[in-house]
Amino acid sequence: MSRAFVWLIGVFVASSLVLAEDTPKPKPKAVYEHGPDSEEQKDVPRGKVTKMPAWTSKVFADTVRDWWVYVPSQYDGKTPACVMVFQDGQWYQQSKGDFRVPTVFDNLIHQGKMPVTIGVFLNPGVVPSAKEGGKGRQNRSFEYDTLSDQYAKFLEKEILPEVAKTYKLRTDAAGRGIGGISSGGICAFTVAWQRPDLFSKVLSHVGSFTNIRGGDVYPGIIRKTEKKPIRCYLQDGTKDLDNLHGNWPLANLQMEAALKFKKYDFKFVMGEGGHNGKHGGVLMPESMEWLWAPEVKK
Amino acid sequence: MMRSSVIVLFVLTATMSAQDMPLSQVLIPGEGWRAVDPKLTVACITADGEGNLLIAGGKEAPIWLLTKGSLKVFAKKASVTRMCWSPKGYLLTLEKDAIYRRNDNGEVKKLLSEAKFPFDIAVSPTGDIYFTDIAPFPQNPGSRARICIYQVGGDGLPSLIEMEETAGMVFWRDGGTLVIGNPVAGALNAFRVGKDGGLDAEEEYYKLRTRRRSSSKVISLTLDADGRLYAATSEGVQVFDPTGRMCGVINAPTRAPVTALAFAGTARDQMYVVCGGKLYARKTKVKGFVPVAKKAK
Repeated sequence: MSRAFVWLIGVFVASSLVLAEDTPKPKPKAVYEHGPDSEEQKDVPRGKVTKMPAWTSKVFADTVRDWWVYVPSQYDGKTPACVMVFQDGQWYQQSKGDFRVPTVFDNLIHQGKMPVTIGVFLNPGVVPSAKEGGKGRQNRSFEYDTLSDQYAKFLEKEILPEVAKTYKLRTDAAGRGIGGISSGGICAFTVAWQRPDLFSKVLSHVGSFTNIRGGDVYPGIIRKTEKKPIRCYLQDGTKDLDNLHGNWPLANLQMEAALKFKKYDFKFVMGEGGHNGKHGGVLMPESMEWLWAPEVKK
Repeated sequence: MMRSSVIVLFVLTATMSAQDMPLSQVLIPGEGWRAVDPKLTVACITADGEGNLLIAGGKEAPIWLLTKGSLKVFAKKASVTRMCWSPKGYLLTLEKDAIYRRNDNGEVKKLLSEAKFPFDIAVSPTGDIYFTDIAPFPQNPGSRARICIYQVGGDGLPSLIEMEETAGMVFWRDGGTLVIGNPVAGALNAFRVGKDGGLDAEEEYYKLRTRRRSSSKVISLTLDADGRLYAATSEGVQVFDPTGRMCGVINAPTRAPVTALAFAGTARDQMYVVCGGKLYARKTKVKGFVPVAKKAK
């Protein structure tokens, strides 16, 4: 091997090292992994999730939906329990997957980090076709994205009384929370905004505070409305949607700024994820502990 | 377990975002409106089962058939305020106080003489005719406006619903949902169509963009093959996805309100609109929906 060749190889290796040093290393992808409070623990008593008979609504005329009720083992049948409602309930009531609410509730209630809370998991409604093989009308966007008191009325007049037939529930707004993902997130906020006398605690995962059905107006409305007794936990990710309805991260940042401006009792977490439940799911124990802290201190 | 988690995640993501239908799926870049025939004065339009466009000129005017780029007379003289194509292969027209069935061989049949002032019409994929009328039918004498059903071959006029005002009607592709323009509410109301043809499960499913201090003035609706709904309004052509979310608004050809619209052409990809009494067209990426492709008889 000639000296010149060795010298050339030396120069190449040296420049590669220099280049490697100068090139900024790509930021590692955010990895969201569930903690122990999202896992079933041996020494923690488990609550029971019951699938309820499909619900036919009058408030959302003739819609039919699946729903589930979670009752913690600590519920004694005498003391009124707090209640937390989840939109897109099917995803939230699963023991595996992103949210794992029953497991999180089991663990936090057992640790005294959350009050005894009954979970109500509601799927969006569908107007079934009257004709065989016909396509039903999906009511999710109408129910969740519309800025009205209709969903609150649905809970007040239909669902909560139905659950209260079997279980004693707190009837004060401080004892009630509501949460959801995407359109289910803005729906949670709308319920509390329209009826703060019914619900005071809001959980929003990648909330659609965008112009699907006009929800982008909330930051402006919040700023110009007397502060309401609402406590919010909002989560979003920098890689969330940017589409015809709006830009989710910007919309959530606007919500954060408006809530901050009006001195709301809120927490906002911006992660690096997209339009999914990964980050919000991992945060579920933290968000529930934060949201329900005032009731635990009592 | 891994597989089921993936499926759940996929369904979740799909439900939350994949149904987005931006206007970019409809409009072709660089493609704008073109005037079809500036001499024509147009009241309303509809497409037949082969994609030919039927054009009605209003009072005592002909009905034209626009086929492969040329105009032919479909009917020499009529006073059509609304019309639609039946999947059974004929044209249904509202004219003054009656509903007529017209064929291109000149045959005209008065279908319903009980109508007093019919002002909108739609036909289901199975051929049932629905129309609006403010006449005091015996079933509900006190109402100001209502939707009534007339079923061809049926035996009556079941009274159905009341609305202060109605404008524009169209069936979903499977005929299970009827959408009716509700200009008072600034919305399009969706109804479930029952086995007996009755309507229930009313909801303001599609929220229209409206001008300040003004209703949307929606008066004509149509669907494309993917289930998008198109509403001719004073704001332009408002487009909605099958879950009721607005996809966007297509600008009108002129400053006048869009008063009628239909998809036509051999591939049904030409969107025709009536604006200020004139006919305009533009090519799109989508195809209009037609329940049953049958030629005029």
